[in-house]
Parts: sequence; structure tokens; C-alpha cells
Amino acid sequence: MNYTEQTGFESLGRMIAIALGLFLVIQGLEYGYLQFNERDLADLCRWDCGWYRTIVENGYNLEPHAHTKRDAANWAFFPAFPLAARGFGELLHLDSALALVVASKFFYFTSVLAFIFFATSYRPSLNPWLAGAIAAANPMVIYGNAGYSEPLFLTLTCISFTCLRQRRYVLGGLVGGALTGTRIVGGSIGFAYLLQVLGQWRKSEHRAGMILGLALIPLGLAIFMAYLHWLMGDALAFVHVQVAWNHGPGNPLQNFINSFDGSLGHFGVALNLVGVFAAIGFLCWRKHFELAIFSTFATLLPLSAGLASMPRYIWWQAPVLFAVALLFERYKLLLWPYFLCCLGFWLFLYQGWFSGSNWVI
Amino acid sequence: MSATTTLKLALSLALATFYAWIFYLASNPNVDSHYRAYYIEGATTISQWERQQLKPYRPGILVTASHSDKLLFENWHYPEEGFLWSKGGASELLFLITDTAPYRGEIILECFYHGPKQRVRVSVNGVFVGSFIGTGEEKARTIHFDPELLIVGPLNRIRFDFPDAAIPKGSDQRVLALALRQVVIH
Repeated sequence: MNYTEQTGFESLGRMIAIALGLFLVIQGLEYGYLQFNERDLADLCRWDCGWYRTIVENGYNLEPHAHTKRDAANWAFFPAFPLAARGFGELLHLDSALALVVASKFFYFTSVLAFIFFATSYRPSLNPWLAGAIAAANPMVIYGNAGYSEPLFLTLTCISFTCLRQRRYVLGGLVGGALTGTRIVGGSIGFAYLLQVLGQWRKSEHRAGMILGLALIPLGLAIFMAYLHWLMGDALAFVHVQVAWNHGPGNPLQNFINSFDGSLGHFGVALNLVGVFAAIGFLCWRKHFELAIFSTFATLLPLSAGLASMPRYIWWQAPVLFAVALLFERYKLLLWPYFLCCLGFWLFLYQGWFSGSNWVI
Repeated sequence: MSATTTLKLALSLALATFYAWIFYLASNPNVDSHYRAYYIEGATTISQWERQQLKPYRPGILVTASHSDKLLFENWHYPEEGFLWSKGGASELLFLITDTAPYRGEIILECFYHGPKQRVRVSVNGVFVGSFIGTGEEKARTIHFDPELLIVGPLNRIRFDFPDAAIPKGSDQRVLALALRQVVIH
């Protein structure tokens, strides 16, 4: 069945209903966990959410002030998500921690919805229920519900790719601009865009739109850089402040090899990296080169800084989730065992989240 | 060429100009020398706050390998659980004193080493004061120096050179030699 054969409104209503249903199931599970453990929603705002909280409350730091050496500042965190959370806070009269959690949950819902659109635009025969379930049952679901920028990143990635698929280049570039203002790896959309545009350049009648779309992609990053320069004098402070986290540029291949050093923590990262490279290969095999190049850059960039947080960087990439959806479209019997594994992993992650152990960051 | 096309190209050109300006700003940060050395050039591992907090060292004060307001760790890796690794081929301890008289000229290190043997050369304020070969875990490696080498006012520098510093096998890509647990200067 081709699911895009439905009329526009019918299709939109159906997809919203699917996304909302899946969103509510996950929220119900999380609510049960929080109730059982006597936690509030605002308690979810930990780790990086704490940094976003400083931005929501007081804007970007003028001076570094945190960590043992007082060399850390919130410059490393991009502005689109905390700006949106501040809007939620003012609109709903929420304190900053709750506003961040609510904003991330809102974007978690939009990310499921946007992923359904994205996945069914790239593969019209894909069941929207399956697409939505893969996005909603993300093994790293906690980052979509705890005041992190991941769900906004996924939402914008999906919209941008959907626009590209529909050859709406200016809108795709504009959304890409918002993506580069969300996370540094948002710039990966530029490579995907460029690849797609180059492939269609000769036969296209919309070359000016293609150029403008491409020119719009770095806009979010450029505005953030201009702001940082105006505020504290260093447009690249978001890179330079990584020294406070002991992160430096390195060789991603060497870091990949290092993930096989035998330690249990790195073994999990190694599995995820093997998985993402397999997904990239699979997307190339299916001739979705623009998706493959996005995931290549979105993986290699954080991998060059080390192995920390790699699983969440991988699992919130739209092309990776798309590859997973295609896999389960082929092997439907594996879907329920996969969901059960995800459920077990969520419990593990939520326990880690509240235990104070920083491997969850 | 239609008006829409012209507008799109003009907007693209305006954006390209804006990005060129951002590139210029990024290449010319308007920051002080401490910020530049610490964050941009990586020329120091001492943060500006640590420099501002520095108080004079008094002989016999035990400093553990983390943050201290009596001793600065120049070119050491980020502190780990109870120790910090030297970084590359040389690392320094920096400190201020108010009087040279109470010093008898002794540095006592509690430390351990990367590899079975590490040659260590020590100098105080640019003057070579001794060398040793470090092995295993050492509770009190003592290095003697002439206390007349110390200076009142500017920073004093105890420098350790590690000709055998190397990258360990495994996943750690840092160049390591000596892991310092604590230090006392008399």
C-alpha cells in the first residue's frame, strides 16, 4: 500500500494521530517510572539540561565560571533550543527547568511526527505506524524528554530532508539554518543539501532557489557566532571552551579503533559505531547518498572529539532511524523483541540518569 | 532573468557577504592574552581563574594533584581521581614566595610513572638541579636544589623534562610520563 495516496488532510490527520498516540504511550511509561520513583518532571532536567537552564535564566556567560578550574561556560550550547524553551516558560509560566523539559517533550512529539513525514516521503510504502514507532521507541528516548536539544534537532533534520525530497530548496535551507543554530552537527545538512543539489543542477529550473537554500543553511551558526563575538569577543567560543571538558580535536578513526579496547563502557559505544557505519553503508546501497553523507558527518564530527555521548549522537540522527525502519519493514518479526530491548534499555538509562553517574551525559 | 530569481541571487550574495564578515570575526577574536593562551592556542593549562587565585606558597604545604591556590600546574593533563598526568615532554609547577629564607631546597613528590622506567630531569627557574630514573609507585621522591635559586616576586618554575614520555598502549592517546599524586616543597 502506498500511504501517501491518501488526501492531504486525511494523511496529515492520520499522521498526527499516530504521532500523538505513540507520544502518549511513551509519556505514560515515563510517568509511571517517575511516580514509582517519586520524581517530578522537573527532576529530569539534569546534566546538559542544567547548562541550558543557565542560558534560559541568564543568557550566555560573560566569563567562564564552572568546573574545578572555573574554565567552563555555557558557550558550548547552541541557542535554538534554550530560546524555544524560554518561549515555553514565558507562555506557560513555568520555571526554567520545567520549561526545558516541556519544550523537549513538545519537540519529541514533533520529531515523531516529522520523522513519519520524512520516512514516508523517502519510502512511500513505509507504514507510518512503523516509522512513528521507530522514532518514538528510540533507545535513547530519555534525551527527548529531559531538556536536551536532541528532539528539536531530529525535528528540524526531518523537515529539512522532507523539503529537499520535495525540492523545496529555500524552505529546506531555511530549516537547515535553524538546524545549524541547534547543534554544531546541524551543519551536516549542508553536505547533504550540496550533494542533492549537485545531482539535480543540470536538469533543474530552480537554480537560484538552490543557491539561496544553500546560502541559508549556515545562517543559524553564523548568527550565534556573531552574537558570541559581540558578547565576549570570541566567535568560536563554542569550540574553544571544549578545553574545559577535556575535549580536543582528534582522529575519529583512531577513536573508533579505541572503542574496541575491551572496556565494557566502550564496548557499547563500539557496537553503536559499527551499527551507524552499517546504516550508512545500507543507505548508500539504497542510493540515499544525501542521508548517508549527513550521518557520516554527524557521526565523525563528535567522534573526532572522543567516544563520550556517541550513542545519543547516533540515535537522534534521522537517517539512522530511517535505516532501522527499513530494516524492520523487511524483518517484521524482530520488531517486538526490538521494542522489548528498548524498554529494558530505557529503564537502565533512567536509573543511570538519577543515580548521578555521568556516563549518561 | 525574473525578479524572483534576481531577488534570490541578491539574498544569496548578501548572505555570503555576512558569512565572510563572520569568518573575519572568527579569525580575529577580541580577547585578552590569558584567554587566547588557554582556550585558543593551548599554550597554557592554567586557567585565568587559577592564576587570579594564586597565593604565596609557604614551605611544607602539601599540595594534592588537583586544583590548588598555592601551586599552579603548567602543562599537565586534566586532573583524574587523585592524580594528574604530565603532558608531553615537559611539565612545570609554578608558585609565588614572599621570602627565600625558610626554604632548605627540597622537592618531595608522591607519584608513579608510565612504563617501567622514566628518566626525569629537574630544573628550578631554568637551572638544572638533578635527574633520576623513576619506576613504579614512589611515596617520597626527593629532589634537592639550592634555595638561592628561588625568587621573590615573579613566579618560580620547577620544570620536569621527560625524554621517555610516550603514548601508552590501548585507547589513551595522551603522551604520558609522570603521574603526580602530591607534592611538598621545603
